[in-house]
Amino acid sequence: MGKLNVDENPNTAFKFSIRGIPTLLLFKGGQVVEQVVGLADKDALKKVIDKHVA
Amino acid sequence: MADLRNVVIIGSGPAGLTAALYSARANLKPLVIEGLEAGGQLMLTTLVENWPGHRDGIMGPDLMTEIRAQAERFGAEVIRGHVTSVDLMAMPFVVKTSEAEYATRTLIIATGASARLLGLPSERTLMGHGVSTCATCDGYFFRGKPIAVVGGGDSAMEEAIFLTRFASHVTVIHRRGTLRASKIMQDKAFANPKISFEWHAEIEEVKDTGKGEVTAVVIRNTQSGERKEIPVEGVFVAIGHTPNTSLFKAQLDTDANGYIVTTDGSRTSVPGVFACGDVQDHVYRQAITAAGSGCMAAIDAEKYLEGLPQHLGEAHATA
Repeated sequence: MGKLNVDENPNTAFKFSIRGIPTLLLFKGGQVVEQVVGLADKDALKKVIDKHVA
Repeated sequence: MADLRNVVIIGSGPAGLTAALYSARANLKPLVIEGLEAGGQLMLTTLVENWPGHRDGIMGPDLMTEIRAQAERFGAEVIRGHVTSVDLMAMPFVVKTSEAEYATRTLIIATGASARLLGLPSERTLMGHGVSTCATCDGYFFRGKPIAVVGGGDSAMEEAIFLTRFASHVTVIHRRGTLRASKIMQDKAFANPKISFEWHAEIEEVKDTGKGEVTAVVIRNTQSGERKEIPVEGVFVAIGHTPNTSLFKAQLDTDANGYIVTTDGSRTSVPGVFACGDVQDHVYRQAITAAGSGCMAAIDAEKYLEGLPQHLGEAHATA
């Protein structure tokens, strides 16, 4: 799990076309497979992650 | 059924945490369920200059950290979690999160208010992809880009002016012919060379949902009916707030705008349920008034508990 401060890392933020915070990107095999923008509760995050770990 | 609580507080802005501070000091061991937007609206602000006692101002998030720590110092328990349902017909009341269930003799509602949206399908699709309700959070991503701000009040002007730090141009889209914002904010906005206005204009669509990013807004002039497209890469919606009352629908009296009705201090239509902060206040909406009403709710809850036969809640809790 990695955390990125967009203020200090503008290039990375632009690379992934971040337009809002908080943004959560889920990577699988080096590729972005999910993007969650805004606040989400545990259940919602679980669903997103479960899709890719089955 | 979980332990029976004296006080459960939903929400962790100035209202909820001040209610926690007072009820903790009354030895009621309150439980605060933070909610998704922990700390409330002040977490999205920068310098707060009208909180008494800080002559040079205090950063919003710092203020919330302080109030929280102060409440915890006296025994308030603040937990992460988002309430998914409440049952106010039960005695004791039942509060559920996705993780747990709580039974409580009194409930203090401090769920606050959230940014109101236009209600367009395209707005929803592009939220977080160029559509935002928080200039302080997301303005940074629009460096050198044209953007639009929707609204005509103080907060819309504040956002528009703030966003000129980043954006190449800011178009304010307002459905009336005059601003509702205070004179001082209007003057600042009119004097800013990067800000222009579209009057009597309503957004019909945010483009481009197919691309998954904002490329333009389609606006309609409410007087002439004329439509036009303005190329922008961001849309900031600043058309006010709506109270977060969906949990209590049909359980508590609300006014025409959805705010919880409080009478005789912080009392709601259900005895033992109290409300404070922006969820019941569409007039003042200040951190200090929210905190003040949180204090009232804690004192009202304490009085209510004193009048409650000790056995009452407990008998039902174990049933």
